[in-house]
Amino acid sequence: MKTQEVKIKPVVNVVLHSDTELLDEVVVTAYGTSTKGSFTGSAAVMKADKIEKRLVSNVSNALAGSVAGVQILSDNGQPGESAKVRIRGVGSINAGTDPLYVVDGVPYDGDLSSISSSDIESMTVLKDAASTALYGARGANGIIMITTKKGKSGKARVNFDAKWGVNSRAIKNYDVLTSPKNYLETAYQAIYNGGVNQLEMTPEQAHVYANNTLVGNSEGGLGYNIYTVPTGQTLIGSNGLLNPNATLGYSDDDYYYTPDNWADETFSNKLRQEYNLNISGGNEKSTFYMAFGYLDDKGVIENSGFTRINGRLKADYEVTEWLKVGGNVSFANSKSMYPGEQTNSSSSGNAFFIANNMAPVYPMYVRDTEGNIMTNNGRLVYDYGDGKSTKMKRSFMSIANPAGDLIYNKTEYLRDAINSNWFAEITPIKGLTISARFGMNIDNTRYNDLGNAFMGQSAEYGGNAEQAALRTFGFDQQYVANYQFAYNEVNHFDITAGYDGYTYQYTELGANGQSLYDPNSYYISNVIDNIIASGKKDVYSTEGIFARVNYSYNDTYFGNVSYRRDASSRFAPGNRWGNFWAASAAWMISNEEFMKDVEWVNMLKLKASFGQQGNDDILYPGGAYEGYNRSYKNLYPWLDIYKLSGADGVFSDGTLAYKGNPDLTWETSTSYNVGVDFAFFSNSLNGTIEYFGRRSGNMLYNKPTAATLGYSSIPMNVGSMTNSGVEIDLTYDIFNNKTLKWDVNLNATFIKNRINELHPDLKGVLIDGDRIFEEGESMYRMYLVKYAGVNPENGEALYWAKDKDGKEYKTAEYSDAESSNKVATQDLLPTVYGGFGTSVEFWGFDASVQLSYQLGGKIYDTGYRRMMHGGASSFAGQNWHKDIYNAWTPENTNTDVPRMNAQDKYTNSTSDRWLTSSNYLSLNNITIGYTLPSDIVRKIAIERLRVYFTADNVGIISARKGLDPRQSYTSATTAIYTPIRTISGGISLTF
Amino acid sequence: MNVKYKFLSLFLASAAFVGCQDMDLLPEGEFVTDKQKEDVATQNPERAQDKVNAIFAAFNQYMPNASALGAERHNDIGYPTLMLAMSSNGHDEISDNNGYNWTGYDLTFEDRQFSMNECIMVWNNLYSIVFAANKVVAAIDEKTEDSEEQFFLAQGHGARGFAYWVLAQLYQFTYVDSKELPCVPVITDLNAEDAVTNGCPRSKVKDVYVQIEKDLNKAIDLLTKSKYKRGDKRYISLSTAYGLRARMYQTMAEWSKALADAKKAIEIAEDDEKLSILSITKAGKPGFNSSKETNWMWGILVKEKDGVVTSGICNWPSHFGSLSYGYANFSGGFQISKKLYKEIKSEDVRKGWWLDSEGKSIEGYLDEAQIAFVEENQYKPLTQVKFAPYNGVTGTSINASDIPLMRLEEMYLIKAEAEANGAGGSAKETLEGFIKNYRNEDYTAPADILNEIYLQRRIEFWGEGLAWFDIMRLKTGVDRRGCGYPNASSVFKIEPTDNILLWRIPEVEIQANKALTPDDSPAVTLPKPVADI
Repeated sequence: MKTQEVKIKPVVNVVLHSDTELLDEVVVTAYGTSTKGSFTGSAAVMKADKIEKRLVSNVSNALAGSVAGVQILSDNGQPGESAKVRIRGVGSINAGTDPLYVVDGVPYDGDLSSISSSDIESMTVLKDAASTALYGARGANGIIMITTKKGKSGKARVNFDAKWGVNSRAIKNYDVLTSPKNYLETAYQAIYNGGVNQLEMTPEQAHVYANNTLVGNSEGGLGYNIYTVPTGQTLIGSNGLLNPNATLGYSDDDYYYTPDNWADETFSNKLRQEYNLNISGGNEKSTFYMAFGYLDDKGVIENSGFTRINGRLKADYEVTEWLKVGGNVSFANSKSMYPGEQTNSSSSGNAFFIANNMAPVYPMYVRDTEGNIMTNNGRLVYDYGDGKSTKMKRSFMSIANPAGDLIYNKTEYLRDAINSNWFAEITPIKGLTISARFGMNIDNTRYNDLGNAFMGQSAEYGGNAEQAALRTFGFDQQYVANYQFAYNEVNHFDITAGYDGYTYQYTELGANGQSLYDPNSYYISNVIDNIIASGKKDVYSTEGIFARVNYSYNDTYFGNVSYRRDASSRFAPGNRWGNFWAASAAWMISNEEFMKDVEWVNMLKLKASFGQQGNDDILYPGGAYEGYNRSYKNLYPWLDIYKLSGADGVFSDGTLAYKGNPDLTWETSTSYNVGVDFAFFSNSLNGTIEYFGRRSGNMLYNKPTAATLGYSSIPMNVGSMTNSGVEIDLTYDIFNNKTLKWDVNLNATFIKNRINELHPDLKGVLIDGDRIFEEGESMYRMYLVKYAGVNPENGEALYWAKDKDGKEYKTAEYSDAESSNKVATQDLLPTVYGGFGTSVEFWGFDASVQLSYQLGGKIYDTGYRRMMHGGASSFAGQNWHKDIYNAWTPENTNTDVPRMNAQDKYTNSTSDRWLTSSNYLSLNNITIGYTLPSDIVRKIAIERLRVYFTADNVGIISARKGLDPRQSYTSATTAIYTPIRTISGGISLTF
Repeated sequence: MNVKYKFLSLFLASAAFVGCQDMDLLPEGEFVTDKQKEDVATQNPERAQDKVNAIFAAFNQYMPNASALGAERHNDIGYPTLMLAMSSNGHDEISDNNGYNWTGYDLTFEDRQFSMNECIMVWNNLYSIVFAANKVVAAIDEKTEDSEEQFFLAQGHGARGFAYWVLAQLYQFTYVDSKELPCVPVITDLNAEDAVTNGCPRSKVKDVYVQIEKDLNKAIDLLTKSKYKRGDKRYISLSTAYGLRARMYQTMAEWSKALADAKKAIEIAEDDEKLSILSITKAGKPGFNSSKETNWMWGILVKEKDGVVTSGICNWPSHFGSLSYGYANFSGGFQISKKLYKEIKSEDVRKGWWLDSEGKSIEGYLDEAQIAFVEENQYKPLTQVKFAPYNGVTGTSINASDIPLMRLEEMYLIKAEAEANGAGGSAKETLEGFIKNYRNEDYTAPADILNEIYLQRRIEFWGEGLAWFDIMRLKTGVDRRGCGYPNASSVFKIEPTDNILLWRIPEVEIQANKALTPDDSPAVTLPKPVADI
């Protein structure tokens, strides 16, 4: 035991701190807690000290690289947006793959951004069946237990933390063409080649044709003229180069045209600031924690900021010896400026897509003949490329200018979220506690949207307004009895039984209309035309009973058995209930007699678990969603769902929206976990190595059907899949003494995915567009045409097709290859992923670095594909990657980049050509801090004062500049809200 | 009793009371389930008929294929998806392949690739009409004596007949010389269940027509018996049913039957339903936007609150109409073929349906606001101004125009064609009676009466989604030379026997329908552009 200095007070309470902290570290488990020493399952904890370093507006983003077995995918960098968290792989083809979040013991379906990360004491990731089985119903994808901070008995403490920083784009664009000259020459080449090759023109005709077409807006032309050329001369000379007499900038009678840098105009460095204050304290009967915080994260594009004010009050009180009560109420008010379409790949409103793909030849602003940007009542006039802003029509994304939209349009979510949790705990006899816990989560969100009346699409109809009220209500009730007793001192029993019922309700009321009176007001009575309103309710509930027995013998042998029976309203009454059970055991080898002499082993535990979990989270087919909340979850998959429509007294209720299946039931996954926890060399090296497997059976799947049946898919329980692998988590203290502490940590997860069985109808293979699901293989394979390189004779893109005898041949006819010879690619999943980092503390300084990585996988690079087009009209006006300079020409025949040709249709068709290594190394966080010596700060009545500097989400190294493989397991684009890098300085005070 | 135990028992009692979740939960609002439909129908028997309207809702839907395609396509709007595609495949309705509008893949015939969105939408939309029709046919006793039920059952049969008539013409060459060739799977209320487990093979062309004929006969029979009058023109009336059967016999070249049905359709339409051909005055300004017009026999009724309308731009007037707000404003809209325009006599009132070769409207055809709108949008010569905007409001963003599916004028032209093919009567008289009285007062029919009828059909129904059926039926092939296509890459000369003219069965259908093999959707070679003339 460590000695503690205790000041003399009338009543002396000495809290003894065990130095085997490692073993007594609390692990938050289902309906209770355990200690790391006696815990038989697999869990990883991320604590406040690590969480607080990350500058995240949504705590899910803090998990990246920090926890073995957890992979973070992020395809939307919008401030406040949740990351996609995948624990030990993906267990289903069409069911939800998100983990269940449990906040202070209560399942949470609210928005994670409503929880301030500074209120979080720990996040515990429960990974195996033994840990999750008591949440059987919804635990198949793992569980993340969030525990909020709590007061401690002792002197009151006040913590204050403030940080200010700057946001910038963490991922820049691909290497694209930046010179208008180079772009025009390349585009000319494409149009010219099309004329000569396909349109049977002579070189002279093609030269004239290409010059004319270039400024038109079809056949690969750009629609814009930005050069002034002396009369009688052509823009591009017959040598294919820009006329040396041409000068950049062109004026017709009304306007002046010169290109703008769209990325520079769209993205800017913006402020992020965060303040947190908490006060905590307590005595032997009660504890108290109060917090208040403010966050303002402005993102990297206009009007996409996230502001949150949050407060929390958490207290518990021992009323009598046998009754303890407590409550925890948090309130968050947030305003999320959330311009729509920023992740919609082909949308004209997506500022990222457009800035990244816009050819360097287009103006963003309308300029007068003098070259000055025009204004309209003080507002900058943006060029929408629609032939109305100016006389020119842009070939790429006509009637679009997201930079203008971002300034003049407004989309916001105003959220009031109350998350509360009350409990009462009775101890009628020693060892027995009976508790009731009620958790209530209410989220009232107002959605407001204004389409501006000044310019662009919405101006055509005088602007539009939309208002919606979205209410989410989650209520959870738990009644749990727990009895702990010992028999003969060495036999410890811990028995738990209980009931858990959860209900979820979502209602919405929305209205929208056109023609604004006041151009800045989105209230619905401010519009007069085309007003329509809608309203609906969605409901969902689960309930279950459970029991668990923990047994330990002499702190050396541990056993655990649990059982849960659950019902979900998503299934037909007859198929509603599922049974889930788990068993686990552990052996603390280091406590054995024979280990007494092995001094370098401080702790060694062998553990194993086996059990089942369920998943009811079937999604709508084809990525469809419904409602203002964009819910992808099909809450009624057992029923045929018809869409109600009609007008003027005539109803229609027979249009099938989603086909249902009354036979649908639980997807069940069976997991096993075998591992060792260890601590060696005076606890300086500790870690965990685990082998795990998860076999999902009766997978929830939307089976594509023949459309002749009148519907295109039906939900089913189809087949099974296994994810298995090894996880390693190591921490090594290089130094650990009073003046210098230095540790390094590393985690790695090796994972394999395998489909065991599909629906018998499918005869072992299921093809869904460009994905293939085949028995015995990983689900992460694509189904693609094979690229056969470039025809050295003429530069056409070639693809592998098959003739009638099954012999492969190269052809330029993509459709032949597509119908005769699409093939499965290799497994795209990385072999290993994880994170590593180090932290050091000396003389008051502290520094840490945290990185994550992934190796051995592939990703389909759609962003790059889009930039490698051949100049065809469907890609006209879109930028090229610099690799296009290596395109085939009669002089450059040894290349795999096809010729430039505006008439070629298959230059960059979907094929395995676009598979790229998904290896990456990302630098997630660098923090440097200095804590002022306490003898100095105490003089100004401060207990602790730390100043720090943090760079978060610093950068990534991947196979190609601009490619971010963290977006998904299969494909990456440039058309998403980019991840944000934040560089901050801050100060933290305790008194 | 100890306080502790009092408290404990209170606690347990309340727990037992609060506990036990309600697990039988259904959505409310936007979606309904069968159980709710039954409950509603019990409370209000009128609601039981709402499923019939689903047939016609299927003609006019906002992105019905979003989940099937995994994509939101702005031309995914129900039956008008087909109208856009068929028009763009042909050679009379011209648009620019500029990457901005939605006709590019149809102009190039890339829509024939079996994983393309258009390929899937065309197929799915027709079979979703079949699905809704089958539900109605299955739900109503075929021997019903109730007038209202007879009427509703007739809607099921009539719409199903129509859907298969369209399918038959898109997926195989025309009936006359392809009777024995495989066409499309015929799914009815009788084999729908079986098809779920065993799939459904393609029927021969002749067997598809057997089904169409059966359905249309039944519809005519039921509507003849029924006293129930349709509430509006989304429903199939007796004249519409005769009109549908007249079309079918026309496609089959059974001219005497076609003549009889066309005559019957005209007779019922004019006498009982009080319909009449569009007058020369009315034809002298933009129209074709409301089913209330007396020349409409059948149409798609669009309401302001329909998803296609509230979407703003994902609707027929947006893509096709020149005088309302939408895609056409920015992508140049649709032009008539130069060759066809030249064939229209300058005395013909229909000359005004398009801007002239200078890009100006014929004197007196457009009003001032419309002329200004045309100028503002820089429409090219020969751009259509046939279709009026919704409610006649120029530039409106409320694109709730109805869409014609069948007009009385067509019956006269079918009648004339049947007569010209020797079914009796005088084609010349019929044709002149129509054109002279309603389109061109100076008209006399030329000697080559049959080709003249074909020409009149192309002019009269331009933009209404019928031209493609004539291209297939009359085996003209597609010849875009000299039509004025803005893109050299859109200029094709396609032989009438070229397989590219046939739509392909989508890949997903081949994969999921056990009775089909990849041979049922053979690959095609895209046409190569030819020199324009």
